[in-house]
Amino acid sequence: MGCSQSLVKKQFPGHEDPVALASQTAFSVSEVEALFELFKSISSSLIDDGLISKEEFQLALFKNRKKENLFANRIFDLFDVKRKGLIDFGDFVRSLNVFHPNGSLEDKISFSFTLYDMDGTGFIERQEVKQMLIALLCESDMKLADGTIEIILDKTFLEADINGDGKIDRSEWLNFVAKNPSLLKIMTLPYLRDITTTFPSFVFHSEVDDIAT
Amino acid sequence: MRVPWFSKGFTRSISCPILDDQVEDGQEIARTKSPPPFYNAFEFISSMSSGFDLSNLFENKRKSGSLFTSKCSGSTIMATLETVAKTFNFRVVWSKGYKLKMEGESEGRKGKLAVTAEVYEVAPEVAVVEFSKAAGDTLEYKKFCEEDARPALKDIVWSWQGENNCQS
Repeated sequence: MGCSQSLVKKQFPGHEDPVALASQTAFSVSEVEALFELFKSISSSLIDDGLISKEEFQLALFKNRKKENLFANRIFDLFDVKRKGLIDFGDFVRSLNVFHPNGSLEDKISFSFTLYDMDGTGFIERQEVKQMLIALLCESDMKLADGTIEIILDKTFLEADINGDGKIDRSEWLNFVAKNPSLLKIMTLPYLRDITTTFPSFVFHSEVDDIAT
Repeated sequence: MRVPWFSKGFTRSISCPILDDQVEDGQEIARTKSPPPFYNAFEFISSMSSGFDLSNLFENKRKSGSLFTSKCSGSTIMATLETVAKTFNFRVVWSKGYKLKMEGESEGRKGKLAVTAEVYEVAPEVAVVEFSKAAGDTLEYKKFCEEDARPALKDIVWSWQGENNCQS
């Protein structure tokens, strides 16, 4: 078992022991191993270096490696914890952990805030939301007058920006999400519950004894 | 068709079907009084963008949307949905305000298929319609959305969730 671990570590920089990852997350050891199957297929799709590049991420998400998307970029940046422009397996598992149905609400709320805080100032500024709305409209082939976009922003900030300073801070976001729980829908992936049935091939390469799972 | 109360709320009547007032009077009056509930910028962004939808990492083919935008008024959308339901032999179980529930006639693999639809408003000329499965088999629900509802609704649909056209 020690032999195969070091071989895996060579091929997959940043690969961590499934048992350790399971203990840090809501995933069981078998689920971590199933995630490894998914990780392997994504990380080897363009360059077989054991890491997920932005293009490989785009390929997995859109089935189109060239598709640049503001929102996918945000997700990628948040998964790329070490800011290397590449996602390793540890990053992958710990980030997906936030999306687990059993993941903590606090983590989900925090992640969603950071997602929208594009420039990382600790505030979601009106201009940032405007930028995202414009990107969304473009991607969906919709056109709206600037005045209409401003109305949408006005109404949204009226509800969310309690102190009226033109930006949403973390505590205002907490409040806003409590009133609009559907905002956290994107923060849960039911697929993660059935990961071992979606990626059954792990059963034949299991590194860990059944007892340990 | 230029009845004053009917054109209230229409900013783009050219692109929307002008329907006969076939809907129950009570609901129609209630709908002209108040617009659909507000769908805020974040709800709009998170629901419509495919970049935030990581479920695509787990699926081999692109997921079909269960949400679309429309430039029509809430009342027109509700009336259209009710018409579509009848077209496919779905019984409208209830229709209140900007929500309705329809149920298929025939027993499917997991009983009768039931679908709810909710209309929201992002801005005066932008509505969002969300479908969800209330009962029945998921595959049958997806089939209904993709093969039946989608083509039947094309006159009122502006854009479907997850449909990407330009590079952003």
